Amino acid sequence: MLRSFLIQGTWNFERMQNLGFCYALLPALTHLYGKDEKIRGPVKRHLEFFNTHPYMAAPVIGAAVKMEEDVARGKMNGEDVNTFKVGVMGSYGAIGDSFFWSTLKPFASLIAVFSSLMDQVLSPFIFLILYNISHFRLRIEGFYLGYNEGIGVIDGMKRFNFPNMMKKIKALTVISSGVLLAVYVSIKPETGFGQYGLIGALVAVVLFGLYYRALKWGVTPQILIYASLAVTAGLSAFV
Amino acid sequence: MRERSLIVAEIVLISLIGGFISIDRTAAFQIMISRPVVTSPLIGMMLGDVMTGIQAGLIIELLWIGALPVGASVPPDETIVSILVPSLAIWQSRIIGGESFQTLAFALVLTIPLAMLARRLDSRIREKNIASAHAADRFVQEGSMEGVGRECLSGLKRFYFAYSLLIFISLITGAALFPFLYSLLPPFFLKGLERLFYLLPVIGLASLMVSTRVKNSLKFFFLSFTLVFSLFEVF
Repeated sequence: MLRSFLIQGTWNFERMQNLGFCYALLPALTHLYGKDEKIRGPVKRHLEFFNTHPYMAAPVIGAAVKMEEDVARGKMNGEDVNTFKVGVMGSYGAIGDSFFWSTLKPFASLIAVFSSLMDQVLSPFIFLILYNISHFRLRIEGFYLGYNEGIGVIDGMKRFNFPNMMKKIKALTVISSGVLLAVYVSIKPETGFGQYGLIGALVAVVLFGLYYRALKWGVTPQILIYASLAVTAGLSAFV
Repeated sequence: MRERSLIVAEIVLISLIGGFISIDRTAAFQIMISRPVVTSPLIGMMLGDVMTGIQAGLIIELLWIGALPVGASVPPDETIVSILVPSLAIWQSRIIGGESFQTLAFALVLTIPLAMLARRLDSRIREKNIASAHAADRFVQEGSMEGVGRECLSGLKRFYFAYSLLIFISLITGAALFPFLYSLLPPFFLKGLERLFYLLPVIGLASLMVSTRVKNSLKFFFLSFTLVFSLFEVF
């Protein structure tokens, strides 16, 4: 299970996570086959193309260990393990990407920024804890779920309830982004938006709208930064 | 002279640790210590100025909040920026002084191209890793499982050394050039940098609203904005 943390260690453009997956399974395979010639087939099998979300690999690895045990006992066909892997990797990849990368990560960032308004030193810890609770739960619980259920892991994974949680977290993200911008233009240091009161807030909203439009058109944030610098520097030459 | 040798020692230390932090970004663990909000304070702590590190981390975090890796596409590397920006700003204020928002903003506009360069490096390593996949195939044929295991981890070494080296080179170059370039800036440009600094969170939030695909997201965004802003105005 610990080896699953290295799943993308030697990610490559040809077979992606194949080496990481094989590495995670090697101890189990050596345990089952020892130094016997028979180990070559299974190892080769797990060097085939594989790619999913790195955290979601944990339940797949668990299930694959279980299935390999059945293969060693002659209760299952080796090819079935790969059919299972190929069958789940696509949808697990999509769920993992949209839950962890597009939903939980931005949300944890936002909360960390909020917490910095109260205590700056705490914000990195709040971010790490908030994010990694789900991360470690999936890695650990997912692995054992896979190992206990074997191919039944497909049903078992429903307990994580990703689609439902995603909806809620995304709604919260949108609302707290609005709150954050409002707080940001309202805090009153000598500098920044806060010093201009209502006008500062209006400027921020207009700028937000402009940036939003530009990004929708496919302008990259990097270009927006340099363009903004050109404008602010130009403006500062006069005002 | 003593200050200079201290900076060199710090560069070496940051490069060694920065390689590990960069591995967390895509290659292993991914417990997110490579996110700006964690990386920059860590660098700040090593250089004896946590507060500047935290400030840099929050701004870079917000700037990258909407940049999502989807499938095989990888966004520009925020980790190297989170390492470079606080380092350059802290050294600058230690030796010569300077307004922290201005130095942070200047360091940021200088290091953004590095984020793109690091992304290229990332895909180069992933191409090189193909050789490891082939080598592992050969080891299976020969029956050497130790060899297979070694090849499986070879990419980690590649990632670590490549990133450490890139961080080292950029820190050396940055430490040498930054004070000089900064001293060339006219006052109006410094003012512009400071104003840019205040705009960065707005850019970040806009990109987040573009990338979170939620129905009516803008409506809810402005609703909560107006509500909270009015509350602030009243009280």
